[in-house]
Amino acid sequence: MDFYKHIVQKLAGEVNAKEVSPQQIGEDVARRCAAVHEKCNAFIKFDPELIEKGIKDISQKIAQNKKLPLAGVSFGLSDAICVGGTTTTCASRMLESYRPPFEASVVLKLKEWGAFPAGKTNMDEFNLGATGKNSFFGEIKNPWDTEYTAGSGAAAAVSSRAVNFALAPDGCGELRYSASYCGIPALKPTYGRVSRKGLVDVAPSLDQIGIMAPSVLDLAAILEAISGYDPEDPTSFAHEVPSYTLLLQEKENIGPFKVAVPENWAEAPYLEEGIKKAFLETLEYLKKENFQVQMVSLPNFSHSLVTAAIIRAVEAFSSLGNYDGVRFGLRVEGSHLQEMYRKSRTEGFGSNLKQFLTFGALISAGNYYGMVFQKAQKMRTLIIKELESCLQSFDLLFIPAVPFQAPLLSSNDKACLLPDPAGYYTAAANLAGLPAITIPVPAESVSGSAGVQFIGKAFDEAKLLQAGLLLEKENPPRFPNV
Amino acid sequence: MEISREEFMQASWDARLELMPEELEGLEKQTKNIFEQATFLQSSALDDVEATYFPLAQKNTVREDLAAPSLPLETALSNAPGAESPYIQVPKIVE
Amino acid sequence: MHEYETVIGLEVHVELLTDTKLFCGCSTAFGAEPNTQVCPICLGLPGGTLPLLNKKAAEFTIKAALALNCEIAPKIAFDRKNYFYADLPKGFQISQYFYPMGRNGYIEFLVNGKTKRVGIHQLHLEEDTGKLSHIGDDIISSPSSRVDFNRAGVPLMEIVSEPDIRSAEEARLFLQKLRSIIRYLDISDCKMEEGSMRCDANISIRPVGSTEFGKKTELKNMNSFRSVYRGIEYEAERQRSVVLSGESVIPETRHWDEAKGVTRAMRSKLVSADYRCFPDPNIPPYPVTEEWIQEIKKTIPELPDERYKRLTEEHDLPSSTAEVLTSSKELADFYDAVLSVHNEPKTVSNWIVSEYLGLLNAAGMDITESKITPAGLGKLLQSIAKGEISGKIGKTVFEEMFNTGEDPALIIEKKGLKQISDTDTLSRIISAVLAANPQSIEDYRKGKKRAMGFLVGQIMKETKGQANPQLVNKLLMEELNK
Repeated sequence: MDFYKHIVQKLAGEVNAKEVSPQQIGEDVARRCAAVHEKCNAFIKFDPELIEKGIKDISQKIAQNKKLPLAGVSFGLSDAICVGGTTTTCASRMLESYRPPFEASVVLKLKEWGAFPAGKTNMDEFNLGATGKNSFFGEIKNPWDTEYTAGSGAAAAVSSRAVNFALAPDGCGELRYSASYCGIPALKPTYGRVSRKGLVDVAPSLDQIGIMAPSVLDLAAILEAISGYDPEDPTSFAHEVPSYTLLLQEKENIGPFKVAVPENWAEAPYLEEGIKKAFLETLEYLKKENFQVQMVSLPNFSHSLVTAAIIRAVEAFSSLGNYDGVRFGLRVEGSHLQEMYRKSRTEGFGSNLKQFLTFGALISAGNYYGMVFQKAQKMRTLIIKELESCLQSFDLLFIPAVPFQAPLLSSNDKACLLPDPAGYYTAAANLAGLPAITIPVPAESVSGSAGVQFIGKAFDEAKLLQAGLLLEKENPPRFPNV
Repeated sequence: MEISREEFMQASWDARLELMPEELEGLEKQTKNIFEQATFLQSSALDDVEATYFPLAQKNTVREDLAAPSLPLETALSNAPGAESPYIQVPKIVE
Repeated sequence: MHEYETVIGLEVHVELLTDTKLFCGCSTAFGAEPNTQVCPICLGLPGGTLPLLNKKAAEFTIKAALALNCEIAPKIAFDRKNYFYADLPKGFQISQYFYPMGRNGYIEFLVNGKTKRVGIHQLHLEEDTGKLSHIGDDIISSPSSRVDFNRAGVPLMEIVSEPDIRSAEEARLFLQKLRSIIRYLDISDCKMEEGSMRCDANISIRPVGSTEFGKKTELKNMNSFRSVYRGIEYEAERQRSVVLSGESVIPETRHWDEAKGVTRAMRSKLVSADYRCFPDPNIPPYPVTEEWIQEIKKTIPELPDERYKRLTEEHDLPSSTAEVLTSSKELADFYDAVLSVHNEPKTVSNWIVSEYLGLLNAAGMDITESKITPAGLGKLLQSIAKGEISGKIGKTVFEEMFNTGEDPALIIEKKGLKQISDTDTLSRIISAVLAANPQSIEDYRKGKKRAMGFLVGQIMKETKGQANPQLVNKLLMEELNK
């Protein structure tokens, strides 16, 4: 059986019709997860019990003849998102034994719809960057070639089809560019479209839970499941959730869209020829599909990466203030309270994180608050305005997803946080809270693809999915063997 | 923007972190790097721009003053490394 | 030689009387077992900290801001005040730094018969911290401490005065007036002993006539009105002797030691001075509309100043009486309620101020604990006015009412205290008394008017004080002058 190759709707249909049993799925998922974990270190730890528990719940519901829209669908959950019965570590030593006594709203919804979590996926500590090298639980390898990074365990697991999809946070683009490293689509919804309840705070004004899946149809089905207002998230929106899957079936309505491309898009540091070529070819393809493509001037777009890094550092410095060895997490004893704090945090946090938090403390102190932090929030205003006005005249903004292919794990070239060069094209959507989709298109790279990206108006995920589907049609998804 | 070693040291203390010498150097290098790229920090064009702290215009939701269940004591203390039921112990406050 | 004046600004914290905490549904009830009124939000557990604003706490704060004549902020916005301390679960306190709920208000009170106005710099809403208890004698010698987070997140309103206060006595009067207003609003019980009202004082001295401020110290740990008074007295005197000895005051935080009656410097390194306040990215602003303000205004009762005006101008009460009556809402409400039964402001106020308060003081009770009802006192005063009992008997009945809570009519009936106003009965008693005291009759007739008093006394004794005194006088005169 190769039902793991199905799109989620088809799989759920078969489970509901009892053509496939949850046990069969469970065994298959466990086998594939174990394999990808062994190959890529995709999970914090591989935990077959979590799968067994999920399968038991679903089996009961199916036995009661319940029809569940995501019956038997497995997902990977970034270890920054809380689920009951296991640890949530954010890939940090600090949280090695932390067991949240609650569950993320997205997880509750997905379980209700019949999906089950198959594992907590590995990541850079607290999702700061996606080098695949900053996890307390080891390097994360690319399933296409283990010399290279996968960026995140979620991307490795989804691209290997160990799970049907994965949820992971996107603070400056980690979701989107790690998906691109592994050759799969990803969607960061509008800020507030999906509840953050249960997502560990790092930079609350930038962070959003997003989706990685093998196909655009899967992205649509999952977005439909997890979107909507949550009274437990004060930043979630009450906007109506359309049926994204239905919208995608009305193929004649797709496009052609008016698409803007920033004229200086090719100025990104480290931009590789392969990526450039793939992007230009896709641009030609869009024109062929009667998309109206136009170069536009977005002078502040190039500041978005640095702006986001500054804001993120300050918000993270503050949001990680609760890691003090008192109510949870690692405690290293000291002779007095403040020393205990410092020892616990110094031993609990990794080197990059410590530098990042110190930077956040620095640029929010004294005069730097106005000179750096507040200045960045002002630049944010300009970037938002610029994008808003652009998207008033255009349906979508089109740019690459990431300037380069998955870096070699042995190289430190691009493994920097201040700023993280991989986020060059992605950070703007976080600053402005806009939705963005990344789609793999053929390219010469380790995954055989490069990510391209559409950014849309707030709450206009439908158009992103439609444009994504169009690109996907031409380039059906490919997957590495595990 | 020139930042002194002392300022970095103070910031790391404020974040209750201790950086190894090579980490401090790394941070100094990165900070220099990001400030070089952040050309807009010097720009006076931003002076009259309003700062944005929330990505989208949003209105907070409010809650009625109705009680919700609290955690059972064991659960509340279950993650605490210094739990001494029903309290959480901390080392002495004054140095 | 200069004369010095003391300059004082107060920072007062009061816990609001909501049922639940500021950002979660945990109970605010006092005295529960430690750490049983906590949840992921108020414990700051990773992934579970999204704050959900309690509307009532916001309304209470706006109500107080209006009652203190403040300008109201156009939105409810919260900021993070970042620092590390054992009673602070998140590494930051959610407070209102940039948009305090109220600004530029004032309080007026009488000092030596003159109205004194003290400015309110600002009034804002924030979360309370947890509670530390120290093993051993005090914080300084304690080898370790224990934390109870039940109080963490309880809504706390901070009122910051302008440095308009000039003496310990004024500080006490300011606090009393503030407490009275807040109790009138019924938004806090303001018990300093229980910590639901706390007061810190910023104290400096300067030569009389100077417009510049001297170096100030911040005085903490004053747990009663009396200790506020004593602490400020002491600290101002200490600063005077420092300055007079040619040294200068060190700006620092000092602790009031109630037992020793002195202030002591606290190590200032305990708490970082740079709080790096910035808007909490998890709490979008909530608009304060004019309609909402008007709605809240309607819930504000007649406040002490207005009541005082009504009592002195309309009821023609002396200012000292009006001040006593309006000092607490319960007392003033009691007064008004008695008037609705017996509309004689002078009599009613005299009874309350001299009799009722006397009994309450002697019993060490608060009016809210008393068994006396306004209707009961009203009925009693009616009986006196109608001549059913004398004023003197009235006091006895009142004491009985105070002790048992019984109806005055019942007490009069049961104890047979009804006044004897029957001419025949009294004439008979008078005749008997006169027959028994021939000497007194003689004395009276010889011009010794005091003999009259003796005879009245004897008659009252015979009637157990129940004889109508006016009638006794009249009948006795008639008898003697025969």
